[in-house]
Amino acid sequence: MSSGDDSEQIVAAVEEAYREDRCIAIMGHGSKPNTTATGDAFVCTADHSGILEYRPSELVVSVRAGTPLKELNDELARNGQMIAPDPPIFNQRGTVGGAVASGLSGPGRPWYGSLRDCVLGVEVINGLAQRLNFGGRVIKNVAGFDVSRLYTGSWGTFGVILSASFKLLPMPEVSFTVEEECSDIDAFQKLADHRRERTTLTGTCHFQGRLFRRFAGAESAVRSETDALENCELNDTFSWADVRDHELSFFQDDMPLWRATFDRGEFFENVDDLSSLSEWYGSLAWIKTPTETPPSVRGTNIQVSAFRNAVATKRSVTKYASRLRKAFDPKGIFNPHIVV
Amino acid sequence: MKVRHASSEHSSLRRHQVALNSTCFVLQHVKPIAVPNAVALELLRQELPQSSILIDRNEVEPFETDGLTAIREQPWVVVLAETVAHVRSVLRVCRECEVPLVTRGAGTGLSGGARPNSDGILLVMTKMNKILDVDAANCTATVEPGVTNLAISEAVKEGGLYYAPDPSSQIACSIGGNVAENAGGVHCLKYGLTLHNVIGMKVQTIEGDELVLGGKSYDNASYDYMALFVGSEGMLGVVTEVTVQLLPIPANQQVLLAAFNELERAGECVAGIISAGLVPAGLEMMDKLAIQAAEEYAGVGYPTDAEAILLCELDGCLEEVEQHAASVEDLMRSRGAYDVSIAKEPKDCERLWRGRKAAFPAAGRLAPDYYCMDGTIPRYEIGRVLRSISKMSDRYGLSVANVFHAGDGNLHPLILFDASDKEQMRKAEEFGGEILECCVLAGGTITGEHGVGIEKIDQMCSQFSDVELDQFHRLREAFDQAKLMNPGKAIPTLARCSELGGMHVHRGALPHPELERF
Repeated sequence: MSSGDDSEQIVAAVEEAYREDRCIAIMGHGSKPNTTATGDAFVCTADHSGILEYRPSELVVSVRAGTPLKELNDELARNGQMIAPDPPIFNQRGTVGGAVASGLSGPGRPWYGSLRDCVLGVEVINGLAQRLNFGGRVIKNVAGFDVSRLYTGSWGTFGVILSASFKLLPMPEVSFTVEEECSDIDAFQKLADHRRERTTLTGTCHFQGRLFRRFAGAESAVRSETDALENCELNDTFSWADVRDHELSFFQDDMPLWRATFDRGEFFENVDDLSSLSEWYGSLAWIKTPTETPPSVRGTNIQVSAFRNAVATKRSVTKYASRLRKAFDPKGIFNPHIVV
Repeated sequence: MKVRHASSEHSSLRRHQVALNSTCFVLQHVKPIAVPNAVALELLRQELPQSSILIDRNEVEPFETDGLTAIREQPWVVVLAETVAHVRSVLRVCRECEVPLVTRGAGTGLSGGARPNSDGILLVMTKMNKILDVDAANCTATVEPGVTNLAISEAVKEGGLYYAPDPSSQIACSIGGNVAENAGGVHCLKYGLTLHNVIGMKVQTIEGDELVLGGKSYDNASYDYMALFVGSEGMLGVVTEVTVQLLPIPANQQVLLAAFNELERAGECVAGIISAGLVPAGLEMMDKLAIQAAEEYAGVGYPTDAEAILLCELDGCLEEVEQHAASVEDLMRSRGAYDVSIAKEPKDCERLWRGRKAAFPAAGRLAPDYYCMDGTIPRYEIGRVLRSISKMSDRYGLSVANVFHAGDGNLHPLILFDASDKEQMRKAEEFGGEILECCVLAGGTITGEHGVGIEKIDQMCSQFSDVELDQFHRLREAFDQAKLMNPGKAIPTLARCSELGGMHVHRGALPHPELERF
């Protein structure tokens, strides 16, 4: 596994930018689309890598930001453990720091929680070039503001993440996927019944008229639940990692791709003959459009963002967002092109 | 302002709980008797019903303390808010007249976070106690902040749902207070803290803005303000609405009780259960003194000759629970438990839990007072830290009963003492501080679930460096530039840490040399 401490160089780069009033774009592997940076300089965390502490009996791992997520996942899997929210690894690349900065979660999010839920602590460099530690390596910790989770999903606008600690979960004993033919409305209704029961359901994916459901946990429980399902068949080749990483054929083209999230109880109803794939009980939809015009989507509180080959509408900056950013980075040196 | 000891009181939920760390602080920083701010009072009276404003000393006295009853201060004015408009009015008056504001829920907090200011307004949220919406189909409920934790579960029980976080004060504590402190409970290992179960909220800022945070979606494109507000101890805004996620009540539950001859064996067993890939709903440990006290108090059948017991709750569907209970039983026996019993019937499970839940009041019968600590450590340090605590106990000559959330590494050592004996009180205070510092040294934290409030404000200086504390202050100012909200709590000033002497110099450089420290 790759390992190296590049933190002094990274701190020096931030110090220099601070002193000389220059901007810095932060990157790991640059695996996420639509994050292209235009800063004066790059700070790359890829050489700051390796596991700092991992004791399987603690269900906690601390890891440097540049560690490839794939290598970390492999190491955890050797001990039968996982970062349950399962952040994506696009194009086989992606660092731990990038995962925390983007805050994206995989197909298991409604059942396992979001990535921020399992972040226990971070070491960061703020806009004053100060190295700071927040949170820690224990599950319960309410000392001070929860800055480590605030950094999750902040897209590098608060500074450089040097390392992070995560709460882990044991991998399920077994994981079965069942498949059936089903319209989007039928799929949504079928899934709604799952919400109010304790089941071993840990993933849903619907596209091209087929519904895939993942059941994972104790073997006895998974077997008895999947045996009771009607008109479904087991599919042991379907890969949830492919859903997570956009490796399914659905994603393999250059059409503009949008990410839409819906409130619990709502879903993307495909009315315009667009091509879409949904996860999370239907609450997350990936929508492809023939042009760069955003898809029309109905529902309350929908958030549509451009994910690939499309341009996001400029977001307005709220008063508090701007102040928060200034609180971490008074000179505005980090990722000036990104608005969160 | 008065400082009184809990043992002379009978009204509070935890009348034996006495916190000492900050008693001296309060005494040193006695404010002059507040000069009533006539303009502010006039404004309040214009905007709020007279019945919502308490100003007579006998009316405000019940609000002089929270669950940390050793620390008291009478507020200048108490406002019992009934609507969001009332809250907004209070915030406006505080802003315009520069009056300090402390927000209070049910007042069960154990770290003095809701201790009022003699020159400030205490905004009490308990009258805002309506359940606004239950969306059973989507397993969410939206409530006002004064609704009690347990009332949420009661309201959704018929639909087969419940709200998972269960702090031991759940019958009385309010969801707004839970949000402010990021309250935990005995089921955090599997179901998370308040943070993991609150999905949306409305917050009023002192600048007069209403922030609508989160909601019913699974993620949001904006900054994670909710993570910042949960556990912010009333320093960033006033929560006026909370949306929580609900869980289906587990169909099956079993509780295993294991008895050990050695405390450390029990600690190793905890690590063994976790390493085996099992995530119990609850995993609790008690030491001999706590077992004996609980057994005498509750009579639930705990083995009083054991040095330690573990309580392990498993829940889920029947097959899963049966399979995991068998694995846990094997582990307990192979890790040195000399006796293991399994409760499968709800009433038997309830009986085993009853002893654990009675541990605090039971400890209250062992001595006139106890001081409950709340440090968290990595699980692998449990044995070592318990040994240290036991040595400290000999050194201070004060007994300690240990009750804790072993699965989370969250310790609750109860230091037993007599508050009428000044020397014992001083020792208990020192002992408590030493335990927390021991937790920090072991890679843990000074507070797992009770919050910093005013009680642990000095220990914040040992957990965080100056630059980190400074970052907290800048974050706070993003929402409250005048620093009127819950002043003096949760985050110590750099000056305060310097005075304590334990200056945390980072990487050999004194950060922010331009800042005044003395």
